[in-house]
Amino acid sequence: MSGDRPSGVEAQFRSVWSERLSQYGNRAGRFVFGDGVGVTLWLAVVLVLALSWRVGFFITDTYPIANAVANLGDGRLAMTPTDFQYSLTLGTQPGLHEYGGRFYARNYGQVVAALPFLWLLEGASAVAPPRLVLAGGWALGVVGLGRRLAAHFDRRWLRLVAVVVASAWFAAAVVFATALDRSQLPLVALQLSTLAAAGLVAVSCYRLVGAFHDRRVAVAAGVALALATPVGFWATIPKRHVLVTALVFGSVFAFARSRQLDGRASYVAHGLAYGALGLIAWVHAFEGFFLTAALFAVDFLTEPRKSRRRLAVAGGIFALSVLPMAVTNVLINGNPLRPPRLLPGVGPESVELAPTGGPESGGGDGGSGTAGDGVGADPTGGGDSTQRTLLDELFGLLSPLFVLMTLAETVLTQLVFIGNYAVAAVSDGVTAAGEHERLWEIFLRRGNSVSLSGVNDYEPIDLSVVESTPIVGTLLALPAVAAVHLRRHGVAVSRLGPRRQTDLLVASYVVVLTLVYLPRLPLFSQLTVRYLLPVIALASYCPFRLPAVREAVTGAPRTIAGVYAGTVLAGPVLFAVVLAALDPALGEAIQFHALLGLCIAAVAAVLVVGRTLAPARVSPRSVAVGVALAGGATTVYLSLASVEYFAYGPFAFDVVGRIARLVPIL
Amino acid sequence: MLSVARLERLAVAVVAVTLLLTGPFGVVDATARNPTTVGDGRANAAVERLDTSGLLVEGGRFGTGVAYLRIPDATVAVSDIEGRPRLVYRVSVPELGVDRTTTKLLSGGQSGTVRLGMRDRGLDPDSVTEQRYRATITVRVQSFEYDQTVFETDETVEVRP
Repeated sequence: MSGDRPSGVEAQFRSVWSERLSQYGNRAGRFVFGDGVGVTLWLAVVLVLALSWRVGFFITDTYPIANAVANLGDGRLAMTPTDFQYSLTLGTQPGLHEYGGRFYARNYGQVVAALPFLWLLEGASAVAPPRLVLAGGWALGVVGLGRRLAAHFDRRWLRLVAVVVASAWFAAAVVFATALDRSQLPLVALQLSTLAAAGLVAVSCYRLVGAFHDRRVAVAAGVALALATPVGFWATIPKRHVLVTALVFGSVFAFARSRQLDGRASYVAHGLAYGALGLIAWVHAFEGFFLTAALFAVDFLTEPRKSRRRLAVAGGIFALSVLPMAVTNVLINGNPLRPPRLLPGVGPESVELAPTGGPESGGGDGGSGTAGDGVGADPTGGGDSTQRTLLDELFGLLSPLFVLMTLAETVLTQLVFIGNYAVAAVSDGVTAAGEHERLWEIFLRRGNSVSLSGVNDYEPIDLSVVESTPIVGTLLALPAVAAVHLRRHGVAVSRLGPRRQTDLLVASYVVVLTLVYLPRLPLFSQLTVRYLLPVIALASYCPFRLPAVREAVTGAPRTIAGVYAGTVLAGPVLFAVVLAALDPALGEAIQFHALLGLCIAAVAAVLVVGRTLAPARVSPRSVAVGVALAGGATTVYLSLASVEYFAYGPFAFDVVGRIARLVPIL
Repeated sequence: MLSVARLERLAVAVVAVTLLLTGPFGVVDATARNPTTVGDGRANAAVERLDTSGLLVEGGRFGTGVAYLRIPDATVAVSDIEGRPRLVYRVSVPELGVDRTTTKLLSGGQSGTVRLGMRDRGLDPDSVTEQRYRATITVRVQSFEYDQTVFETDETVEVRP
């Protein structure tokens, strides 16, 4: 960079500053990505997933969020109907809420996360066409990735390959460029934010596995999370799920580090485990609430070092992390604990993990409005012209106290309300967990569910958990692993190490999120059971804790990489050929994937169980083949889903559109 | 001798310069060449292949549990394209509540054959009560100033058990 000729005090001053800045930059980078491998992984995942990016609205729920991004970008929190940039009518925007005659999106965590991307895009689009800004960004990313990979593997020619790919890509982008209107930038920014979050899911999983195991296993887990689970499917479909998943993984990783470290670093990591959940509350208050309850329970049970300082740090960070949500809520409706989801909905009815109505129906919450008014009508409002009596003066002095009391009452009412709701939600979940048919449809075979098929124009496009993510099937080996472990080591639950504590946390996150969503599932337009995306992602991390899978990665790395790459490259071609012959409808093609996914999941599960029970009979190499096939099956589905099955908008990169046109499956 | 580092810098520079040249202050409009919306214009078109016997209702495979209206592809020969007209392929079966269209934008110098694929339509199996349905198939060339039907036929849709 600069500083070739340091002459004079000014230059010295500047170099000190640039040094300090780069130091801060490095520290921030290390905080987010961990190490160089983390950065490379993030970049690679983002670049790969961007290929399947379509600029469009896949689900109508995205309209209000995108509208909110456009409006907040212009400095407006409250929207009126004339402010809508996408989908102009009220009846077409599920998840739009009303308060005081103004409209709000249901989730401002996601909206704010998209703003930096919007500013970047708007800045770049001031001097260059938006379409080519995206293509140019991708090309530069490839050049950067080439440099990083060349350094990691010590292969200089990778840089040359990257330059050639990037140049060809950009040249093709210029030749085939179609217009991308600037009015689309808020949507593009929203998609970029979830794409970046998908990269962070991979990085957090890499760091989490890396905290306990070999680096190769960690990289495999990171790649698998992004490309071999539905995280890739939702990466550029800007729903909240990927962002929540990234934060959930951040929380688990921070928890694991807090258990491994000592002293101040441990306190901070401990706090960050809660802090990530506080931020989830900004995206979805109730998901944040249930996850925090689960973390608190596990934390309380497993942490023996309960010092006052630890509590203070953790509490402080958590309080800071819920602040954005509280401030947003206060700005919208004056009640820090009433998220937009609890305000009256305007759009078509949507299924929501939130109680209907609010505590105000009982009258207790009438205070929330007055609390807001009270602040506005404080002494400053009444004191400028008319004469004030002594009594007024007194009330003026006391009014902050009243405001505080009303606020406290409001908060308390809201807490009781949320608590009641939470208990009801969990008990509903426990009831639903006993219904075998429901579980079968959610987790194993979705197929055609008669009651719901009419919703998607009679197209069975939804997949179950295992159908969409066959690697989760390998968890069938869990009982076998537990049995083997118990036989070898006996029962030693009394004192869990950091690894087991983290396992316990992962399990409780999985259980609590599954329970609260069970009564709402199976549901239409879930595609890959998207409500359970964080659960599926956590469950996809679990195989990398199984010795059998880890041995496959460390013992047969070439096999696993080769078979996965082969599946990903040959799979779509094979599918295209088979499906071209079968000439299926959309639902048939997707159910074909489903059946294949189930078969592969069964094979992978048998191999992993076999390796666990009889290591002499099943080699790591065959486990590697099974796991790679299972991961590849999901990747093939993700790529075909975007390229062929769900054409909800033009591709971000015209080149991909040109290629997609050549694949006539449907 | 051109080193890799220099090539990298060159690529980055080319990207940056191209972006500026095609931008609002630039001299070239890169997107003008690739229109995405229909405009004025006309074209000659003739249906080359449209297997109407492929239009039928049958049960879905792979455990889908729904019925499908299978819709055949249309292959259309186009020539003498002026401006930006589009091809419109439409299939309607009023009694089943089906009215599907698929379009393809044509642009100059694209003469030859064009394949218009249409996705099969999922149906509630309980709503298919008849043995036969009436269907209308049309293929048109359309633009803001021009609308010519080049193929129109009434067909019987058979229901296969």
